[in-house]
Parts: sequence; C-alpha cells; structure tokens
Amino acid sequence: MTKRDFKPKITVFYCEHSGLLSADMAIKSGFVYPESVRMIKVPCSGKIESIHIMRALEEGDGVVIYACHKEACQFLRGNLRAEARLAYIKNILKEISIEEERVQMYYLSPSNGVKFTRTLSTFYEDLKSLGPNAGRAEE
Amino acid sequence: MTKKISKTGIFIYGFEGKPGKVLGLDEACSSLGALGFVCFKCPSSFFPGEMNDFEKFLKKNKLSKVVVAGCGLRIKEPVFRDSLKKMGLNPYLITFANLNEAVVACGDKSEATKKAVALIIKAAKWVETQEPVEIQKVSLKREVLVLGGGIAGIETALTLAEGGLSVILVEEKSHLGGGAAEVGNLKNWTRDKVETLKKNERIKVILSSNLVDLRGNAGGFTVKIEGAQELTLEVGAIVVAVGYEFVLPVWKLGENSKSLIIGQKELEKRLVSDEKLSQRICFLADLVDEDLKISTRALLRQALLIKEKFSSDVICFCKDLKVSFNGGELLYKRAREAGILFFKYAEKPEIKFLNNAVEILLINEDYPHEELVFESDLLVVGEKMMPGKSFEGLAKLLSVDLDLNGFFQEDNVKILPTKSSRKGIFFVGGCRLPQNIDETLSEARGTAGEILSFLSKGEIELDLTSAKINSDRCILCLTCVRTCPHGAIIIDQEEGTAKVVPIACQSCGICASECPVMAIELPLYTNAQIIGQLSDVVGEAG
Ligand SMILES: Cc1cc2nc3c(=O)[nH]c(=O)nc-3n(C[C@H](O)[C@H](O)[C@H](O)COP(=O)(O)OP(=O)(O)OC[C@H]3O[C@@H](n4cnc5c(N)ncnc54)[C@H](O)[C@@H]3O)c2cc1C
Ligand code: SF4
Ligand code: SF4
Repeated sequence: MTKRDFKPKITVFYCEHSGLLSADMAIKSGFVYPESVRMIKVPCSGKIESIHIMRALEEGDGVVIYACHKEACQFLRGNLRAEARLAYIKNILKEISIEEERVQMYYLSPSNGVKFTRTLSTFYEDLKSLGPNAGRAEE
Repeated sequence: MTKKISKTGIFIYGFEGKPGKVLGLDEACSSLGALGFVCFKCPSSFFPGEMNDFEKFLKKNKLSKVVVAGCGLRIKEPVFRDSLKKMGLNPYLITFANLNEAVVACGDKSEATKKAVALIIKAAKWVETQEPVEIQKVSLKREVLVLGGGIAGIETALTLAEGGLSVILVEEKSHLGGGAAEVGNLKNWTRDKVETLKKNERIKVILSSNLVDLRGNAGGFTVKIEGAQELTLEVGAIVVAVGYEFVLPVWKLGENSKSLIIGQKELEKRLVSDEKLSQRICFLADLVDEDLKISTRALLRQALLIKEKFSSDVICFCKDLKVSFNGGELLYKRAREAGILFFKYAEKPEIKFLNNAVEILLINEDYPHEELVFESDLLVVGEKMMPGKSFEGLAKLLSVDLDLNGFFQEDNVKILPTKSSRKGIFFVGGCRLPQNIDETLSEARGTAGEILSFLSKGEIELDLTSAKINSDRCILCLTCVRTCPHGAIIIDQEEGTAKVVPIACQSCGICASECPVMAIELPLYTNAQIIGQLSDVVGEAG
C-alpha cells in the first residue's frame, strides 16, 4: 500500500454531552469529515476504559476522544479521569513502541461542529503521514 | 455476514435535504430485510403521526426490541422511551443508530448505503445484548432542611411551605435575616420577611445550631443538628444558603489612620445609625473584585444617600462601573446629576495617610493632567466577598465541591445553576455567588420549585439505569467511592461490598471504568456492548 491511498481507520469515542452533539452539528452544517471513522458513544468520557482504547488500536490506526471542556464536564470530573487515563495509555504505547500520537483527546462544547470536523480531519492527515499502525492485528 | 437476529425491528427515518440524496434507504431496508430484520421506513422526522406509525409497527410485528435509525436523534430519545412505556414495553430495549457516519461517506451512494446498513446492524447487536431495565418505586421524605437564615434561606423556606412541604431552617446565629438585615434600605423589608416566616406553621426554625452529620441520599437524608437543640431528622432534600463573609483588604496602617478608612459594610452601619459623616468622602471600588455588581449597587446607593443627607463632597474611583443590575443605569444617572464625581482608574491609585486626611493620587493616561491628587476625610473601600469559614467543613460533610474561589460549586451552569453535584442538595444565594437580592430571590424560588416537583408526590419511579456492583467481585478498595462525583456509592459493611444508591447515581459510568477488578457495570453501556462495537473492522461497511 502506498502512502497516498492509505486510509487511516479511526475510532472516535465521544461523550453524549459534547462530541455527539458536535458531530450532529457538523452534519447539519454540511461539513465533511473523513469517512473511515467509527463513532462509539459513551455517557461520559470518564467511562472510556483503557481496554477500550487498546482494543480500538488493535483494530485501527488511531483513537480520538471527545470530551466536554475542562470546567464544564457534565459529571464534573469525568474528563479529568479520561485525561489521566490517556496519559497512562500514552506511556504504555511508548513502551511498546507505538506512536503515542495515535491517541488524542479534544475538548468541545456541545455544538462545535467546526472544531469537531477540523480536529478530526487534522488527526486523519496526521495519521496519514504516520502511516499504518504497526500494532494493528492482521486482518 | 451477521447471524440472523429475530424480534428486532428497524425503524428508519427518511431524510430531507442532503442525507436524503446520499442514502438509498429503500435499498437499505431490503438488504436488512434479507437478513431477517423487520423494517419500517418513516417518510421523515417531521412527519406528523410518526409515533403512531412507530407503535403500530411494533404491535403488528410483535417486536420487543427495536433500533431507530436516523440523524440527530438524541432529542427524540425520551419520546420513543415514553412511547414504549405506554405500550407496556421496557423503555430501554431500544437503540438509536446514528447514520451520520454513513452520510459523510457521501462519495458514492451505494457505499454510503452499505455503511448505513452496517451501522444499523451494529446497533441491533447492541440492543440484542441489552437487558431490560427494572423500575423501582422509592419513597421520598417530604421534609426539607434549609441551612442559613439569610434572605436566600428565608425565601426558599417560604416558597417550599407554600407548596405544601415542611421545612426545618437551621441558623448558626441567634437571629434571622443574615446580611440583608444590616442594609439600610432592606432592613424593614427583611424584618417583615422574618415575621412572615416565624408565623408559618410548616416552617420550624432552629437558631444557634449547626449541621454536624449527614447520611443517606436524596429523598432520604438523615441529618444531625447540634447546638441550642440536639436532634436527628430525616429530610428529602437539603438547601445550603449560608451566605458569604466580608473581608476588608489589608492595608499597612498606623493606629491613627485606622479611622480614615472603612469598608462598605461598616459605612452601612453608620448610615443606619444616623451618625453624622465627614465632609469629604471618597469611595474606592473594584479594588478587590472587579466582577461583582453587588458592591457597585451598594456604592451608588450609599454615595447618593450621603450626598442627599449631608451634602458632602463625594468622589468615586472605579475601574468599571457595573450597572447591568436592575435599575443600575438610572441609579448611576441620578448619582451623576446629584453632583457625585466618578473617576476611572487603570492602575490602583496611590494612597497616603496624612494626619487627619487621606491623600489619593490618581494616575491615568486618559486624563489631560498627568496626576490628580485628592484629599478626603474618609475613604470607603469595597470589601472582598469571601467564602465563610465554615464552608470547607460543610462541603466535606455534604460530599460536595467548592469552586476555585472557595464558594459552593454548582453542578452544571447550563442546567439549573443551584443544583449541586449531589442529587437533592442545592446551593442558593451568596454561598454560590455573591449577588444582588433580586437575583437571590429568583434563585430561591426556582430552587424551591425544583424541590417541590421532586418531593411533592412522596414517591418516584426510578428507572434502574444506575451502575451495578457485582458484590462477589468487589474487594472493597473504595476507588469507586472516591471517584464518584455524585456521592452515590456507599459501603455495605454487612455484605462486605460497595453499593450504588440508584436515586443518587447519574449513570456517568466513571466508577465503572475506575474499578480495578471490573466489578461495576453500567446497564446501558456494558463493557461487552462497547467492545462489541469494536469488533468489526473499522471503517469498512459490514
Ligand atoms: C453593605 C452591603 C450593602 C448591600 N446592598 C445591597 C443592595 O443595595 N441591594 C441588594 O440587592 N443587595 C445588597 N447587598 C447584598 C445582600 O445583602 C445579599 O445579597 C444578601 O443578603 C445575601 O443573602 P444570603 O441569604 O445569600 O446570605 P446571608 O444574608 O449572608 O445569609 C446567610 C445566613 O446563613 C447563616 N450561616 C452561615 N453559615 C452557616 C452554617 N454553617 N449553618 C447555618 N447557618 C449558617 C448566616 O449566619 C446568615 O444568617 C448588600 C450587602 C452589603 C454587605
Ligand atoms: S472500585 Fe470496585 S472493588 Fe473497589 S470498592 Fe468499588 S466496586 Fe469494590
Ligand atoms: S455511574 Fe457515576 S454517578 Fe453512578 S455511581 Fe458510578 S460514578 Fe457515581
């Protein structure tokens, strides 16, 4: 596969109170974001477990988490827990020599279709230049 | 491809606009039909009678589980759940497939349709593993504890009593009224409120006492009061209305200059007691807190009063006058017309204490003179509004958070600002945010309304979507107790396990992802369900 036609596969975990609504907004506004993206909704970014992220990396090239803004988490501290977990995962990735950039977290307000589209598209391009995930299980 | 799933219906919304052109929904229906699903395509999400169609569809096909597919369905979720409830079905055996991802794959219609089908199949998998959610009746205490007998506490208590609930109002001091009782123009009004409160049979006032212990959860808190009286009570909700404290900014003063500078609160006392005031008076505002409208209001009112009563020379120094409160512009206009002078400062003015006067040195590039020097007999400064000394202890007792400034922190400003992170506990008035009386009153009434609708029936039906702890797995590490932002987890010593209190749980799932032995599951988002969503190859249709 050449770099040009490599389509990174991305798993998005989005919190129902920010990311999901922003994604809806993006569609309503007619924005186009990369298609090889799979969305999984969670009640709060704090619900995303390490195992979910690792599993998603086994089967894809990158993972994005969308959470509410720092001081505006629907459940007060869920996004902070998610942030801590992400740091932990990045450490593991480093140890097993997988680029830590493959996992990203963005903070969103509930209707920011623009930021949703922009961050996702940028992430997609970044993954494209990183190339396929070496840790991905063979299909 | 995927194994046949019986008894799961698919209800697809047609689309207007772009999505309608991108997705071949009829093709989607027929390929889902070929897999054994029963499909129904609703013309559009704005189609009148769609819910009738939905109910007919379920009845006709004797379906018990259903996937609703479309875009932006979140706001409709409760409508569908209600509809299922009405039909006697479990309102949680339904999933919503978000076809957004299919819509963005708009390069090619058949690709997009394939993707939509794949998304719907995934949602069907989700709902297939969904257990019905039980419904539990919980009885609620119809008494409310109000902490603090300031205007916020009084108004909340009166509104609650009016709505038929019993109130126990606990005040730390030996008298009611709080801050407003000391403010000249509010004094009489506050006294009247206190009298009305005392006469109300549904309200019991306990003075010179404090809350010392709290157990239980919304609908059934057990509280212990100590002080002048000692008693233990059961209440359904708690309102915290403990006000705030005033602190004068610190100045390095000699003994003789102490009488030259006072706070607004002290000035208020002198004004109320009709003491004669000096001839030249300066106000220095916005020194400690630029965002508070309450000191601006008091400043304008006090300045006018002094001008009218003693025809003193009054000068006000401020960074910005906040006149966005009710009647603010008018008050400012009156002050200007009465001859009160206003000067804006950017840098804090220099203050010098002379023998019997204060010298104020103002430097502001906007003024033609480089320096302006004023002399005054009395300098009035706005106090800093500080959280009360008892806040920290009280917050711990209630298991709620204080914000960065040390005030009680609302759960979510976007919803009801007086709601705390714990169900059944509310913060009203100055303890949440120093504010003017009119704002406090509307907060108090709004909060009372919220409590009335929660407790009035004395019972609620709870959908048990709360987290569940597997007691066989729990090793009592207390991680969940510490991480739950809503104080919803208790320890059951007898059974040796942590337990979730359903009425307090807000189903965020934070505990579930923190538990080291994976003993906690969120019924609507089980691990198996989330991982199940991952098992397909990402991005490929089906
Ligand atoms: C000088 C000055 C001028 C003002 N001028 C105006 C004005 O012109 N217009 C206007 O709208 N507003 C004005 N205000 C503001 C107004 O007084 C306050 O907004 C209002 O009084 C706040 O009411 P509250 O009930 O929230 O707090 P408070 O009035 O402070 O009441 C809190 C009560 O709780 C009690 N308490 C504290 N801790 C505990 C505890 N742990 N347990 C039990 N009880 C406890 C306290 O003793 C107190 O009685 C002024 C304030 C001052 C100081
Ligand atoms: S985190 Fe898990 S193991 Fe620890 S107390 Fe809670 S349920 Fe038990
Ligand atoms: S789901 Fe959230 S609110 Fe419920 S017990 Fe767990 S952490 Fe607390």
